[in-house]
Amino acid sequence: MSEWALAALVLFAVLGACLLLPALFDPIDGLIALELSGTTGTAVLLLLAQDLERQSFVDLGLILALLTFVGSLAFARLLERGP
Amino acid sequence: MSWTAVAVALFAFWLLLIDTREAPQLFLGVAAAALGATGSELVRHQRIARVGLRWRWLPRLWRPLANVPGDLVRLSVAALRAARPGARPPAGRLRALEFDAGGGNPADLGRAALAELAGSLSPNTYVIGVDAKRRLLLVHQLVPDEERPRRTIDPLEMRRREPPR
Amino acid sequence: MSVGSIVVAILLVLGVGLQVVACIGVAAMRDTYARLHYPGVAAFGLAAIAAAIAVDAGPSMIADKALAAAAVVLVTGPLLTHVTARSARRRRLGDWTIRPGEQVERIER
Repeated sequence: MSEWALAALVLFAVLGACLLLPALFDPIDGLIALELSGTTGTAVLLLLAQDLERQSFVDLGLILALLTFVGSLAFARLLERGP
Repeated sequence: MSWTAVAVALFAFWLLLIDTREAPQLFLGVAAAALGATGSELVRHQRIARVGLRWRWLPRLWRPLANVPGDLVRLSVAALRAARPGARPPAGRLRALEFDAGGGNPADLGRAALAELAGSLSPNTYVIGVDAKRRLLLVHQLVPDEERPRRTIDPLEMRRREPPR
Repeated sequence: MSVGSIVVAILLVLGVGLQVVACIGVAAMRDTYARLHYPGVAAFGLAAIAAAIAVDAGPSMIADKALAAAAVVLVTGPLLTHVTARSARRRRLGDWTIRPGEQVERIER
C-alpha cells in the first residue's frame, strides 16, 4: 500500500468519526464538525487522486473545498434563528 | 475590484479547471468569466458596504502567519491533553482590545474588516467582531497569550486610525 | 531514499497528524468557542498534504489544483470561523456584542 493510500485510509477513518459528531452535539457544534469534515474530505480526495493517479479527483477536492465554504456560511446564517 | 480584475481572475480559475487548450473551451471560459464579473459588479453596485483598503497594510500579513507554527503546537497539545480520560478541557478566553472604530466611512470599515480577518488567520485566535459602540475588538483565544496579547489579537495594528509606520 | 521522498513523508505525516489532532480537538472540547479553533488547524493540515503532492508530482496540473484547493480552504477558513462564532453568539445570546454582565478580559495599555 503506498503512503498516499495509507494516509487516505487514516483520514477516511477520521472523517467517519467526525461525521458522527453532529448527531451527538447541538446544531452549532455540529456545524463546526461539518466544517472540519469538509476539509478532511478534501484531503482524502487529494490523497486518493495522487494514489490512483486520477486528476479528476483533485477537481472534486477543489469543488468540495468551495462548496463546504458556501454551505457552511448558509448553515451558520440559518442557525442564528430557529432550532 | 474592477470588472476586468474579477474577469481575469475568473478566467484564470477556468484555465486551472480545464485541461485542454482547445479554442471552444477557451471561448466558453471568456464567456463564463464575463458573466461572473458582471454578476460581481451588479452586487458591488448595490453598495451594501463600501470598504476602503490601503494596499500598504497587506505586507504586514507576515505577522499573523509567523504565529501559525507556534499556534499549531499549542492547539495540538491542548487537544491531546483534553482527550485524556478525566481531563478538564480548556474553554479558552474572551478578550477585548480597544479599537478606534470611527464612523461608517470606507477607511474605518476597511480597517475593521482587515483586523477581523488578520486576527482570525492563526488558529489560536479568532475575531468575533469590532464592537463599534464600545470601541472594542472582541476575540476568543484558546491558549491565552499573556506575554504580547496585542501582537496576537491585532497583528496588523488596525486598532488606531493612523497606524504607526 | 531521496531528499524529495523524505520531504514528502514529513509533509504527509504533518498533514495527517494535524487533521487527526483537529478531529480530536473538535470532539474533546466541551465549549463551542474552544471547538471552533480546530477547523483552522485542519486547514493547515490540508496545506501540508497539498505541499506533499506538489513536491511529489513536480510542476503539473495536479500540483496546481491541489495547491489551489489548499489555498481556498486557507483563505476561506478564517472568514468561516469568524462568521460561525458570530452566528453562535447570536443564536445563544441574541447579539454577538458583549452582553451586560458578561466576563470579558480587557487588554489595557
